[in-house]
This record gives sequence, C-alpha cells and structure tokens, in this order.
Amino acid sequence: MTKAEELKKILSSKLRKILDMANLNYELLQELRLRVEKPFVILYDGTEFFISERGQLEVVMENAYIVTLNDIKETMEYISSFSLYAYEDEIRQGFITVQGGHRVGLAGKVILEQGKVKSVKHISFINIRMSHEKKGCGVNILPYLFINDQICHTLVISPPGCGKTTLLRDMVRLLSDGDGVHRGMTVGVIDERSEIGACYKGIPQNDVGIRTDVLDCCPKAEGMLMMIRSMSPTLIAVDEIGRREDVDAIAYVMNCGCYILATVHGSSIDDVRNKPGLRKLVEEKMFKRFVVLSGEQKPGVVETIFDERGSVLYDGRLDRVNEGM
Amino acid sequence: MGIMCKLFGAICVLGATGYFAVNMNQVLEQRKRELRKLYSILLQLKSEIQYMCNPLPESFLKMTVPENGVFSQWMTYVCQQLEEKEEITFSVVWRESLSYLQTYSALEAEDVEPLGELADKLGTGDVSSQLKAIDYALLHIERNRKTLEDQINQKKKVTVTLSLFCGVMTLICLL
Repeated sequence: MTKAEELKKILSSKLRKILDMANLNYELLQELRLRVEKPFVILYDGTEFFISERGQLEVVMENAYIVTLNDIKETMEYISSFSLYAYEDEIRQGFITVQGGHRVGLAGKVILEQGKVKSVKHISFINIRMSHEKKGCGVNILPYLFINDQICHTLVISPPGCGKTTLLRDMVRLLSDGDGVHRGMTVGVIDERSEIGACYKGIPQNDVGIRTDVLDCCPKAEGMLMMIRSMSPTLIAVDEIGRREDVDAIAYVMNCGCYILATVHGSSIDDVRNKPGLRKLVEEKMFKRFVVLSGEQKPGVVETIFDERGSVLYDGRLDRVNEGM
Repeated sequence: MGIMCKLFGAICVLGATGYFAVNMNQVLEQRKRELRKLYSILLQLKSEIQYMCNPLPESFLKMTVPENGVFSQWMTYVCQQLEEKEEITFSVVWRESLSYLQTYSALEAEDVEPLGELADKLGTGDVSSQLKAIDYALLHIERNRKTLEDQINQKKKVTVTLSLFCGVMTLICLL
C-alpha cells in the first residue's frame, strides 16, 4: 500500500477528494492538521499550506477548506476502525499509530479519573504526522560506536524534533542487519510510544532490521527487564529515557552484559549531567559513546561524538566548515 | 372396503390438521431459537469488547465463522461494509444490516428494536459504555424471549387443540 492509500484510508470522504485534487507528492507531505471549524492545514516540504476545496495549496487562508465536525467524526471512525474503545490506551496517551506507521495525535475533552487521564472524548483536533524513514542516516555514525568489533553503550543526545528517533531507528536497523564490517546482532527495541517500529497490529511498519524484536507500547523500565528475560538480546534500544526507573533499568541491563543504545533530550553532555538520574551513569562512565545532534541545522545532523572521557571522536561542525571551504 | 377408505380419509384429514399445527408451532419455535442465538451473539460481542478489545469489524469477522445461515450473512455484511471505509458511518451500516436481519429471519420488529439502539453507541465510547449499551440490549432480548416463551406455551396448546378440533369437525361434516 502506498503512502497516499494509507493516508486516504483514514480520512473522511470529503478530505480524500480534496487531497486527490491537490495531487501531492506524499514523500514531501509531513503533517495534516484538522481542527473543527478551522482551515485544513498541511505541512508540505517544510512549509505550511492551507488547502482549498478544489485542492489548491494556498499560503493565505481566504479560500481554505473549513474542516467540519462531520469530517472529524468520519475520520475518527476510520482511524479507529469504528471502535474507539479498542484504542483506549493509545487515546489516553494522546495518539494512535495507524497502518504505515503514521501517527495520529488527538485532542479534545479529557476525562479524568482520580486525577489521571482516563480518556479523551469530543475529539475536535487531529494531527496526522506522516512516517518517513530515512534509511542510511546512521551509516556514518556506526564506525564510531565500535571498539575492537564490540558495540559500546551509546547515548544519543538531541533537542526535541532534531531527528533522534529517526537516527535511532536507522542505527537499530543497521546493527540488526549488520553491514560489511560488523556482523548483525539481536536487538531488542522497547517502543513505549510506537515511534521506532511504528507497530500496527503488532507488525513493525518501519524497517527495524532482521534480528530485531519489538516490545510495543511497553513502559521502558519494565520492557527492558522483560526483554532481557524473554528474548536475550545483545543490544537494547530505547527512546527518550529520563525517569529514575529508566535509569535504574539501564544500569541493570548494563550489568547483565547487554549493550544499550538510548536517546535523551538535551543539547550537550552538560544537559545530561544535570539530569538527576542520568548524571550517575555519565559520571561512572557507563556510557562509552555520546552522539550529540545539532539543533541548528536540518534534522538528523550530528554535531559531535564523544567518548566516555569527553574526547571528541567526530566534530560535525569542523566537517561542515571544511566542506564550506 | 368402504369402511377402510373412510378410515384412511379420516387419518389423512387428522394428519393434515396435525401437520398444520406442528408447522405453526415450528414458526414460533424458530423465532425463539433465533432470539436465543441473537442473545448469544451479543454475549460474544460483549466478550470480544471486554476481554479482547478487538475493533468491531474484526469481532464480527470472528463471530461469522461458527455461525451459519442468516446470522452469518448478517455479520459478514456488517464486516464487509465496515472494512470498505467508503463514505459510511457505523450507525448507517448497522441500521441497514438490521433491516436485512429482520427481513430474512423469523425475528420481529420488537426483537430487533433493542439492537437499533446500539447504532449510535457501539464504537463511539469507552469500553464500559459499550458494555452498558450491550447489557441494555441483552436485557431487552431476554425479556422478549421470556414473553415469547409464555406466548408459545399458550399458543402451542391452542394451535394443537384448534387444529385437531378442525379435523374432527371436517370428519363429522364428511360423515
């Protein structure tokens, strides 16, 4: 199924017709935003556009198609296969992953039970983020992660929206499949938010490699222990660590002889040192490699790679200056 | 010879009226059986939602397998329509399917009515609201089934008595 078919399958009939007329290149389509009684907006090739009823992309909103409540209702019926109850856990988290790995973010009236989010009803805002794999974006980093043909505990540090999950996914794929230099290894992915494998009915929609097992929608700390007990992976990959229980689970994994590939929000090693839980792991030199992504350039650009002593192994800024010369 | 013919004729008349009575009772029994079937299908749907958390099309597809006849066709229709996802809503598909069920089964309007109320409730809320809606429909179906059972007991006796009485009357007239 193509990206266009996957997307149209979950949109209301009216929106499908509009997209048909728009004649888009779906590889460049990044986001669709539906808000009740507000213009139909898409993010296309990095630029925000309004779409008119005739499918024309407009920069101004005068002729934009206004999304109706029926559009939202119909779209929600298709997204949930007419069964919102079946996606209660996902809705509680605020998003549903659909076929193709696309992520549908939802907002509406939150129902609380004993102070915790129970569900979301009267859904009036939908954000569809198209899944785009960037195969090969981790190829250049991979050689820095090995010492004597042995993978190192690695932490990818990146500000939000700078491609750390995309990079992690590709690194998982490369490590699992193996390349010409290193043999493939068994990788366990703890995919708490279905972002890495983007599983739909348990099947990863993204290519995560031939030796990868995915624990989908599982809390990271619990998932890491489960994975070790059940699938005996060589490497465990987790996205966006930060809570104390995550750090404890990582320490346990490291002591089990398993390797860790993790990501964390931040813009430098100092940011990570300031996180109460992670500080200990950094100071005790548990992580052997730190990959810092740049927040200034386009997503997925590596700024620096450090080892555990803080020595720079790769400086992307220097490379870019040299390329510029 | 003449007496033999009369005896044979009398047996035929009584046989015919008896057959008519049995046939009438079978129609009533059929409705009772289908109500029971409908009840068990709804129970199954409830467990699919409560324990499996499967989406409705998947649940209907699973329930189609052990069924046959009109109920199988009904659920297959619902499943196919939902899978298509072409300018439809669940409530429209559900209501259409109920009119099909009523046409091709022995169920009557009052039997299908509680299912009609599920049209706006199934698939739209959380698990507990789904279960409540199904429980409500189950309650109605059970009540209809009990009422029908009482009616059947009465009607069965009346039909058999009336049929045999008609048979005897016909014989008297012929003699």
